[in-house]
Amino acid sequence: MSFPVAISGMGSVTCNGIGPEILWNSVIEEKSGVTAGLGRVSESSVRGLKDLHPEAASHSPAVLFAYAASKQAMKQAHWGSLNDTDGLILATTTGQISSWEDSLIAFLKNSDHAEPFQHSFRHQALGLTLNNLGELLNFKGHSLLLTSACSAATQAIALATLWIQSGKVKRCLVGGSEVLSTLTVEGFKSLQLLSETPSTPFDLHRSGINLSEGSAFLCFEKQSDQPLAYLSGYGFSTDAYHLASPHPEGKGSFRAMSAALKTAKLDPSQVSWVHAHGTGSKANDQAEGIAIQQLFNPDKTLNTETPWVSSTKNIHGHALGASGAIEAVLCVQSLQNCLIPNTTGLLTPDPNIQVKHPPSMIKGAYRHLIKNTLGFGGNNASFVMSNAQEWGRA
Amino acid sequence: MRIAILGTGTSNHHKLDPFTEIKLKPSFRKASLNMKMGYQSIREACRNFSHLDECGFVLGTSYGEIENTKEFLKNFATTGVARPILFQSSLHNGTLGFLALELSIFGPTFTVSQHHFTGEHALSLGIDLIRGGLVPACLVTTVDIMSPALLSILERMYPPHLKWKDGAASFIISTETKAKEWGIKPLAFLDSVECMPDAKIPPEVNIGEFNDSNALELLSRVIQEKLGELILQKPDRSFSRITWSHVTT
Repeated sequence: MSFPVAISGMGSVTCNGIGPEILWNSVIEEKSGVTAGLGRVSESSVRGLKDLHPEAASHSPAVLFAYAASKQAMKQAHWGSLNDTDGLILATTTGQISSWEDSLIAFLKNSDHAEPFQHSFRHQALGLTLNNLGELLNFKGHSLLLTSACSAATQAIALATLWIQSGKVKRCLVGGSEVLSTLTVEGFKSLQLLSETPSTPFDLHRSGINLSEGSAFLCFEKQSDQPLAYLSGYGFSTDAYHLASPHPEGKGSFRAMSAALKTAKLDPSQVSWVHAHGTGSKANDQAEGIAIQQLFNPDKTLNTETPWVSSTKNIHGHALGASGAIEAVLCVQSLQNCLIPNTTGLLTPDPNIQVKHPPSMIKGAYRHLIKNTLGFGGNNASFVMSNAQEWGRA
Repeated sequence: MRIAILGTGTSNHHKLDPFTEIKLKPSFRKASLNMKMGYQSIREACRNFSHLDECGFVLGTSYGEIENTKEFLKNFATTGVARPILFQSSLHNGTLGFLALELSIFGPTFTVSQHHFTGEHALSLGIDLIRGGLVPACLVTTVDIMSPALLSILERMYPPHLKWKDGAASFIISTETKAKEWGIKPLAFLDSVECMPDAKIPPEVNIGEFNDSNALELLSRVIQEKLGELILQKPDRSFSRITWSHVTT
């Protein structure tokens, strides 16, 4: 049952702009979409999306972003529409909250504001994000909404693969959508995790993360005439250590990546790039760095078989539940363009994180990468993505 | 592959009072009601089960940690102070993180949410994980509370006969083979979980007490009554259908 699943389309809406191309160009040009510590989708992008998709203009930003990214992905995959044998999996953690938190605050201060709050409350349940997206896509097949914090989209991508492998669906549209909100911005600030400048993952002087918003979707199918890449393995684990901090030795993350390699039937030496979660927080980068080092260079020697490790979050920020999908789009582009990005902003590598940082963009075709994610609540998820030529012959 | 139900448990806020473990354990001091009810329902489901270390874990919740979210935002709006303890518990995944920590669950864990069909989706994902070979067994827990401050709003949104209530339920599911290996006699075998969000049935069924994730709670009741089909009408008259068969050997 474990066979690689083809990725045939992708779309994105990020603080860098609309579409995967602008996202990838931002990465290779090292042009961060983060302003004042946050990665917001610009007002002009939102206006452009509403003009392009008037049918979704009245929905919440999370739904609008998700719909726009879905339509891009489906267009590239030549999927005219979704049918009953397809699947739809969405990941988000607070996608709907921005629509009601202002009215909630007003209502809690003054009960005279019950009516606007009542209206917004009707639309705040996270499940409605998926319902609304499904209605816009006229979709009636199997669907799922994952809210497992920052690992949600990586989990969603893995489960889309599982659904196709198990025959539950023939094709699956999968992605994540996230919107900046008072809850997340002030909440992360209260944990002293936010950086006011673009993040510098794995740097000795890193000062925190940049929250961002946006959406990305990918089309998965058993076989494709024009696969962009293949999803060839996945793994999950839980830290059971702390609600908001990863296991300091990265034990859970190590197990998730190990499981992903196992389902892909690969040795660590066959992986060329670890696209790290790399948020820029002290605890995340340290824990993830230990996990990567222990899996890929347990003897702490860096050689030609040791994979490059980098994070792209300086460029697009950390879109929480959508981050795994946004970074999956970059994984596809890295394989297609034969380029492994370096970590923008990394000037002084933290000596306690003993991984192989690309000094600059690494050029050359390669076969496999692993995408890693850690999340609040201790959820870890990883997937292995492989070059289309690698599996296309199978 | 037949999916066996090995244990069920339920909880609600009335049931929590006599539960001394939750009262006495220091780790529960700052736990939310979702976390406490979820924990109690799991303990009840696991009364004859000692293999949680081999399980995956799916948690379903529609409103998530809405009370913590409300308190966080209220506190921030009125005092300008954002309280980290409220924030880390305010995300949907907070309940799962707490329960995984309390129960030492290290396998695959997922939080899902699907409005009126949250319970059904959680159960379906548990089945998917087993059938996909990711885990030999899965703990599926659903939990929802309604903040007193928000309940009045919710009640105004739906017909008067619908009474919102809190509640949690947990199921342990596995394969028939694994159940035999563990020497556990299944309560029943799940045959199908179907959601029909677009279908409408006449409003003759009195839903009574309801929350978005209470499918498992209702299922646990009727499985013990040995019925083979449960049709669950939702507030918008859509419905789900869960079928199971009984142990015949």
